[in-house]
Amino acid sequence: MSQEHDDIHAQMAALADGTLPASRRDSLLARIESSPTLVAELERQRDSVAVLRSLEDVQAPPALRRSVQALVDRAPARRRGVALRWRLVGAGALALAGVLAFVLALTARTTGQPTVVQAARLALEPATLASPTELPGNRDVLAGSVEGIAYPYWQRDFGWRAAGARVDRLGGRTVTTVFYTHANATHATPARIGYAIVAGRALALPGGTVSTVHGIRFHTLASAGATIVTWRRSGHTCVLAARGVPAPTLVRLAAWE
Amino acid sequence: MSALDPQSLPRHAGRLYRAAWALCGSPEDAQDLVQETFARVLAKPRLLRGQDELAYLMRVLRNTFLTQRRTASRRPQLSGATLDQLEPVDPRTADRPEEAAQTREVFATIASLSEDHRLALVAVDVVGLSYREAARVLGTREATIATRVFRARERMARELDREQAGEDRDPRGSLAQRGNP
Repeated sequence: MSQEHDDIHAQMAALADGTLPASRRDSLLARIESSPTLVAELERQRDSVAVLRSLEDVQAPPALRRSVQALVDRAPARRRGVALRWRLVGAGALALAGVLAFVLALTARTTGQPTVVQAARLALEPATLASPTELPGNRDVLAGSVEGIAYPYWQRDFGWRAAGARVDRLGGRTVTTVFYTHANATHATPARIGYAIVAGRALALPGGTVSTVHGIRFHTLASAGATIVTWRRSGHTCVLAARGVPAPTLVRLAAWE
Repeated sequence: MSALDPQSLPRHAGRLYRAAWALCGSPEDAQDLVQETFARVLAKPRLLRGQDELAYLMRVLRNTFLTQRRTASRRPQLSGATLDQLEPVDPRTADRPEEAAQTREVFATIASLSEDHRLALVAVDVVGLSYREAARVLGTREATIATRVFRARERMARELDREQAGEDRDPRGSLAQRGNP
């Protein structure tokens, strides 16, 4: 389909639902009238708009309305400063989190249990394998998973493309990492994120700064010049680790569903 | 930047329900999706960052839909529908089976569109967002949304015409006539 066709079709969509500016209407109508194909297409656009507008009579069932009202009645009161929690995921908080992470890493080393920080360090290592492929027709996840936990497809929504992977053993666990690079990354300013999933039971949470998104708690901390975000998916530990990528970006990616 | 007022949200329930039905293709799944959407939105106070509350709700609905579908794809699939699932639930048409059948057919046709086309059509034609608002919600360009809406309507019209022709050939058919604008 040519760009010209796309442009005409985009305008025809607006013409059919009445949102095309009047200044473009006459010239578009003249163009349409010169082509029986376009006339038929416009007719089908209008048919569909009419059918879709007839759906406006469909109302939510009473049971659904009652349950929505019950949710509204239980909702927390409005207040200012709701974004404050997000803003706390900043440099100052990360400094404190880094100290905590260091202490936790030391503690874990003495007990022999793998830690989130150790898993994160693997996620900062170079890739040794090809990344999972994209799934045809599925723009949500890649064709790679660990015990049912799939790696996300971030390219469309965020511009982060899967670019390599590695598999390591850590304290008897398998840690599988998929690396993502950003479309705007350069050799001078490389931007890479390691997304590690630890097989088996979830690891102990490391503390750090906690932010809650969609009911999931994301722990953000700093270690060895890197930013780490960890959370649990279906009882598994997931870790994002990166250098030079802001913590809020990592939390937003982690929270994307 | 303004705070979302929970008390103003119930007025959008009908619109979200229609959008959810069009996305899921099932009125029962639509109820679950709308309920989950409101539960997420109302779990804590929210700020609207330069968008109106309907656009915000559409964004959460879309994210919840994609999450639920991804989760469902990991679960074992049940075969067949239960009797409950086949009960008409649209109160407008519960006592008018032909109209109910037509409504279900239209929603099913939308649900059969590709994901990109379906989301664009639902955002613009079912929820009523402008092309610009829909582009923001769906994270793409306004021109792309307009082209997707065009193709979605084109496909929908052809599908409904095909089904209409099939019903006309079948004397047991019950599809009601659709009006022209």
